[in-house]
Amino acid sequence: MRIGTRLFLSFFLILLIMAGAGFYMVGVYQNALRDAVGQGSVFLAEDKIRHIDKDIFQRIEEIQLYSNNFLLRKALQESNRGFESMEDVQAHIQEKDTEWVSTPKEVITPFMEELISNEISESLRQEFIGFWEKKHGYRVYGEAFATNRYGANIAQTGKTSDYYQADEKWWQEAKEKGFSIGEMEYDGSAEVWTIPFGVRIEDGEGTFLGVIKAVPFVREFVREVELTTRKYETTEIRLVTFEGKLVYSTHAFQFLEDVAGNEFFRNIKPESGFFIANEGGREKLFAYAHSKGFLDVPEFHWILLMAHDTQEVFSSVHNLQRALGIIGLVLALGILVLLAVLSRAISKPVQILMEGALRIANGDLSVKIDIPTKDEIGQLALAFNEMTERLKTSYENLELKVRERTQELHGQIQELDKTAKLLVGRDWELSKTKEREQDRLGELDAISKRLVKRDFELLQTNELLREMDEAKSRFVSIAAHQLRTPISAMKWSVQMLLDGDFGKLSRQAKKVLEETAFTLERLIRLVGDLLNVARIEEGRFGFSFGEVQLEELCKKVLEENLPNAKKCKITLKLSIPAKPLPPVYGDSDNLLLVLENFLENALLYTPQGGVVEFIVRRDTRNHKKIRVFIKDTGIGIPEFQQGLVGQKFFRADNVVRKQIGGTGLGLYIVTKILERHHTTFEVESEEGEGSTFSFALPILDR
Amino acid sequence: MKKNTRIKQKASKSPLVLIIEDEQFLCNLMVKKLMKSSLKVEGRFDGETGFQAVVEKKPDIVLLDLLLPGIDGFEVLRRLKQDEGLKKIPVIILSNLGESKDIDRAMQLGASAYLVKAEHSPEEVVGKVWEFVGKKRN
Repeated sequence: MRIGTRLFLSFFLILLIMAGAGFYMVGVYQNALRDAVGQGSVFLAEDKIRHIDKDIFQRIEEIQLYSNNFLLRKALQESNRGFESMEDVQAHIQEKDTEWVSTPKEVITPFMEELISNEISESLRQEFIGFWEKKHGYRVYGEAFATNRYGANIAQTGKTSDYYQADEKWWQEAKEKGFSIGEMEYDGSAEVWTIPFGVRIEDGEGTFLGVIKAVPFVREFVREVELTTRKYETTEIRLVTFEGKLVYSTHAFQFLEDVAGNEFFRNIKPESGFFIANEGGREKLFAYAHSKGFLDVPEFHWILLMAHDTQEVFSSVHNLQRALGIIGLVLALGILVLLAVLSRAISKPVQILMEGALRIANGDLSVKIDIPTKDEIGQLALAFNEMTERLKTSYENLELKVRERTQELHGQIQELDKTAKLLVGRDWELSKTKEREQDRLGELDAISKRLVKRDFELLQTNELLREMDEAKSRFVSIAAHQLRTPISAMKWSVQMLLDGDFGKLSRQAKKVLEETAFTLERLIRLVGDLLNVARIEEGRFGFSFGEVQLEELCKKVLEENLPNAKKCKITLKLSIPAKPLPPVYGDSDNLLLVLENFLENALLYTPQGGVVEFIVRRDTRNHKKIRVFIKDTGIGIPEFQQGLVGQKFFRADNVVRKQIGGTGLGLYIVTKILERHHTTFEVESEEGEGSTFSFALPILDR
Repeated sequence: MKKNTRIKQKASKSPLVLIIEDEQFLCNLMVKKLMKSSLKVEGRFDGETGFQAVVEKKPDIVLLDLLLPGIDGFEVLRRLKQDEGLKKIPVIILSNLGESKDIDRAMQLGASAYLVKAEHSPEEVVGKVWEFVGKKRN
């Protein structure tokens, strides 16, 4: 699609959306207006029909008021008495009625004359006709007359159509209910339509005296409507009976025309409301209200309708629509013109550029584009020209080089071809191996990541443990130091007591003190060991490595412990090769401690008469090492516990049982010291036979 | 301040031993043991008065504890060995500290011997003392 077309479509779409929104708004406005006007008209109609109901009520009230007239009552009572005294009332009435009806309309008989001109008739005329003529200048009632309780006329404003009224429906209804409103009827004498009202007459005790009838003109009730101000010029107000007979219209109409079949009448519902319907090719807004009666007077069968021509009601809406249409049209035209200009300004240079590009694509590098504008497209054109220029030069260079290289390559290609064939086979193998390698690497990577994480966790844990251990060791160190002073005091006291410095002791006392001294020695050893362990664990155990002659060291330890061994009745032996052994690499002080501990253990766990032997010789397994054996004939270590030897406070089961003094720290210290020499000791033992401990150290290389 | 303990001299010609030791019970034991061995003994319970006693009494030998209230045994030893008139008096360290770094330090400062209390009986201490006073006499 061309840019111009696209632009046009976009604008058009926007315009369309705007127009849609505008017309939607107008629709909403129209609905609101319709509801407002409709509802307002309904209120007006309700108000008007209520006025009519009230007028009807007033007329009946007027007649009822008159029925209390004293003269009327008296005349009726007299007439009733006269009728009562008759032998055959019905016959009398029949006779008079027949005479009345058969008399021509224009003729007035003396009997009639008497009725029309009596005192009551005079009063009726005065009340219902004269009064209104005087007051308004026109008549309100067509006629009025009164009958006695037998239905016979006793007074009338003019000649009535018949004499006997009790056979009429209205008469019966008025007698029963107190009043009656009859159907509209045509008053021939006045030549107008009237509504007959009948009212029951009674005396002060409520005795039925007769009925009075008065017929006000229909016109009188319609007057209310006539006077209504109309909202619109086209507004038409109608009165229709429930049965669909047109009673009145503010426009030309035919009285009692049947409109029941008309569209507007069919739209009427039992409650007041409004609607839009067609009538005579015009659309109208109808609002209507039913008669509802007034106080005890029931509804009169009339509906009041207001009809407004929608053309007029919605004239503001139509104006708005028209205005919108014009604005939309102008906008559309404006946009079209703008688009035409724009699309020419944009698409023409683009067209030129496109043609130029096509020519280059076809190999014509001599293209030059001339777009003089300074906008983006103008710049594009400049860039385009520059590009073309460069293409041209590089193309020329390229062609030259290509020709040169083509020849060179030709030879090489043939050689390469051979090699390539070989390589293809190899390459396939390699790629396979590479894939396998890649997989392996991925696995390794994952594992190493896990390891790094684990390592870090371990590092943290270790650090914590180390700190805890250090704190504990410090505590042990301080405690041991504090222990030493009182122990020394005890040792010295005991020693001096034994020496007799405080006088001669009994043999028994001496024996006890000797035991005490022995126990104290164990205590001192324990404290010493604890201190060593603490130092080892605190890392304060000093080491100074150098040349060590192991035979010498063993000799020294054995010599030092000779008195001790003698005391325990244990023979000490040293076995060394005749030829001096080469020195080893180690810390002589700490190695001395190792040997001392081994010897101490051996002495401790070897019964009297036993032998402890130190053997020093080249290691049979590794000739570059010298091994020292400490062999005893002691109680041995149970096989299942041999693995635990060297752990802190470990003491073999059988030892614990035999209650032999020992701290359980000696071999732990030994282990720690040997650890620093990167070695460890071995144990061979058989319970009851004895144990052999050994360790090996590397010969010092010189 | 601790009371100085003065012990009667047994024989004017006997060598004089000065014990500087804060644990009175130990001090008393040692004094008794040394006196039995016909030595004259003076006892002090802290570094300050101990050092003063050396200056005043010029003993033949000093038995010196290391952990002392006030100035410690190392300091007493250092001061003694710096004094031209006193540095020839042999000093035997008698302490509960048994670590080699303590021993090395004391020996470097000029101690003649180093005995760990718990590891030696009073008898052995007396023997050590006689080793030095005997040497001096010869």
